[in-house]
Amino acid sequence: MERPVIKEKKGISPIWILPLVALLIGSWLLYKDFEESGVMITVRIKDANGLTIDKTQVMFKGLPVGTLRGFKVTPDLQHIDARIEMTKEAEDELTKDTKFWVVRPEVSMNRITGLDTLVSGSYFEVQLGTGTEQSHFFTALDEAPPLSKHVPGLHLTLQSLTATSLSPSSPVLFKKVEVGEVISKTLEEDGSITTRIIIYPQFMAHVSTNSRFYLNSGIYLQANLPKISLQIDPIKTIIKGGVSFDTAPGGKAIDDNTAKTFPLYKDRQTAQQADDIEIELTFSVDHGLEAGADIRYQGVKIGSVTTVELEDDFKTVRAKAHIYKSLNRLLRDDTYIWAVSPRFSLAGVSNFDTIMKGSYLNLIPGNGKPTKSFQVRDSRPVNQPLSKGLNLILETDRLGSLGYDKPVYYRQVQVGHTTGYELSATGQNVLIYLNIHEPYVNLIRENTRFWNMSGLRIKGGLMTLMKITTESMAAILDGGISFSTPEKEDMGNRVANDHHFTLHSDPDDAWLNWSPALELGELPDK
Amino acid sequence: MANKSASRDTAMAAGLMRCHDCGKLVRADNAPQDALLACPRCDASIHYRKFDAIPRSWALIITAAILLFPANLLPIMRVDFLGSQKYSTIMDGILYFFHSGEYGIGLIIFIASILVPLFKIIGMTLILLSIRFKWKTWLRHKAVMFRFIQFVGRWSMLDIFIIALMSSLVDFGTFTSTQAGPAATYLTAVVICSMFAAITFDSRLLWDA
Repeated sequence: MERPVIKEKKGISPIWILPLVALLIGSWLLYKDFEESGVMITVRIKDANGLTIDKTQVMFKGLPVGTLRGFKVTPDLQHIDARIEMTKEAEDELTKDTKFWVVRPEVSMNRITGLDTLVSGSYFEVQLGTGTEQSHFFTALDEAPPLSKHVPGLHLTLQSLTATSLSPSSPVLFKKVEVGEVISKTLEEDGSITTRIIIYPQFMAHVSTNSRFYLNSGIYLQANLPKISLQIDPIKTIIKGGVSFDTAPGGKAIDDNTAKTFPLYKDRQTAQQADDIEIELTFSVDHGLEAGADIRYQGVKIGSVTTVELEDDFKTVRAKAHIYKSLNRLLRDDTYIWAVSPRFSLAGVSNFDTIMKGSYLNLIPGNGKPTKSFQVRDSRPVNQPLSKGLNLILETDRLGSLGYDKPVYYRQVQVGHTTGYELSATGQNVLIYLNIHEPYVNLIRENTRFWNMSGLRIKGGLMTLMKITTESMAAILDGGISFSTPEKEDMGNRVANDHHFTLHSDPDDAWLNWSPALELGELPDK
Repeated sequence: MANKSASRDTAMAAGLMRCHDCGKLVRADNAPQDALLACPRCDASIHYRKFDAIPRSWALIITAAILLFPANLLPIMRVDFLGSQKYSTIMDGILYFFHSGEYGIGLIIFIASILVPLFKIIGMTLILLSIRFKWKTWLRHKAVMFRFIQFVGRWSMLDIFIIALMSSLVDFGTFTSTQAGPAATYLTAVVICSMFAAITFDSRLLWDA
């Protein structure tokens, strides 16, 4: 039988490297675990709903910095002390001003938060402190703390008197774009509400000293007959409320030298009126005016009545009104303001628009000294001389059916209108003011005859020839003034403004036959 | 009686050994006990007993025992669900199945991933200790146990296969995905080490001692 070949034996078996490697790995894992094991802290919370030991994490800006390790009920059974292991990295930041709070899903009428916790479960959120004094015991906040003042952006304070539907994280809108958010809302000792907001850095330029902040109503219905406007803000605004602001041009940029406190108006309209001129109006009789009634000049709205109050003497009514800021030139001590209400008469309905919109105030500016207090007149001014055309004064013994805005006809063509009437100073006759429109001014001469058009004239008697003259249908209903100018040399010269004529009650037949050749249109001189 | 005759009647006692590769019978009564021998016909390494079996088994079993700790303490699986990560150790998974009423699956994983590796390590240690301290009792039972250890070794990989399957099947991007944790590596190492420990061991050494 053969013998085996004897080979040289190697040293110690290399297999022993394996347990050595295993030991190295094990000790390295141990070391790592020791190195990473954080500090144990205690956070006092109200309840442990949705929190799981070893699973619930402490998040800092979405980054896990700790894990819940255990619970202990406080001896008074009021709170729960949660034992949390924080990572080594967060240890230095665990100062006294560190804030903890539990994030849970919340869906309520004015906010939706923590939706991510529906999947991940509730978690702790931490706002690490910047102080120097270390602490290992904290009390959790009820909800997320307001943004710190150190967050970049424009921090502003808004003051308002009434409680508002704002809540932290409500949006701040500028032209319906979200440019910031509400940080906090506090009730001051004097009962006012202070709201702190932040404007994000990229939108800071939109805020100036001219910015006006107001609450978002979400849904805004303005029924101003015949116009109804319905504005619906973004759905987030409807749910969460919010603040909007408008910035009028010309303001200074907000910096450390300007005030950072703004009033918070209850709606956009109020905010817009904030800069308006407030005037005081006194009424002697009721005109059916209500708060919100327009103030107009030349048919254009220039302001509105804000409040109507009865004076202490129970006789006069005092109202406050806003006039747009740029129109203060209109407010002089001889400015004439009167109330316009709907009026029904045989001749028709005047001021028809007031039936729908309610009464309004009309304004004719004067040239006197600026003032802010006015007496509201019952009727329009006696005479409003117009700058264009020819203003004339007719004298007559009675007014008849004439009044304001009655037409002045020439050959049944309207060439002018009455602008007012009043009794003469002695009361012996009536002065009627009228305006001949620009192109027809040349028709008026010194010897022009004016007569009152009663519309229908019946001349003659039973035994004589009966003659019926009619004017146009409108003239029959409305009344008016007609005139005629003699031919050729008889007509006389042209007249100046405020020339006096006599208003006859009936025309002579001869007047009706006058047919002078007069040039119409713009005249070279006046 | 059987033990005594075994020690007397072995091939080793007669100075004979057989090449495992070519089957040649070799007389090696002149060679030193711990010499490295080679087959004169095919040059394969030959031995009375598996070469260096006891130190190798010891080394592998110790390695497996050390790695058993990270394998069970570290998370073996990471489940990402909608951005939130959930780590679970082997025991977490077993408890999960038990809590959800899946006792069968829970039991299988418990046996395959915890009981079997532990049993193998303890069993091998017992065998090696009995050789080291020349315990002559229960040798046949120990041999049965050794055969069982050899047979059952591969089943410990069950957990690893499950995780491998899960991480390839359950992968829906950010919605949910499954990934193997560090313990998977250690558990694999434990299983491999203990299997090699059984392979390098020579059961005849039980009776040699």
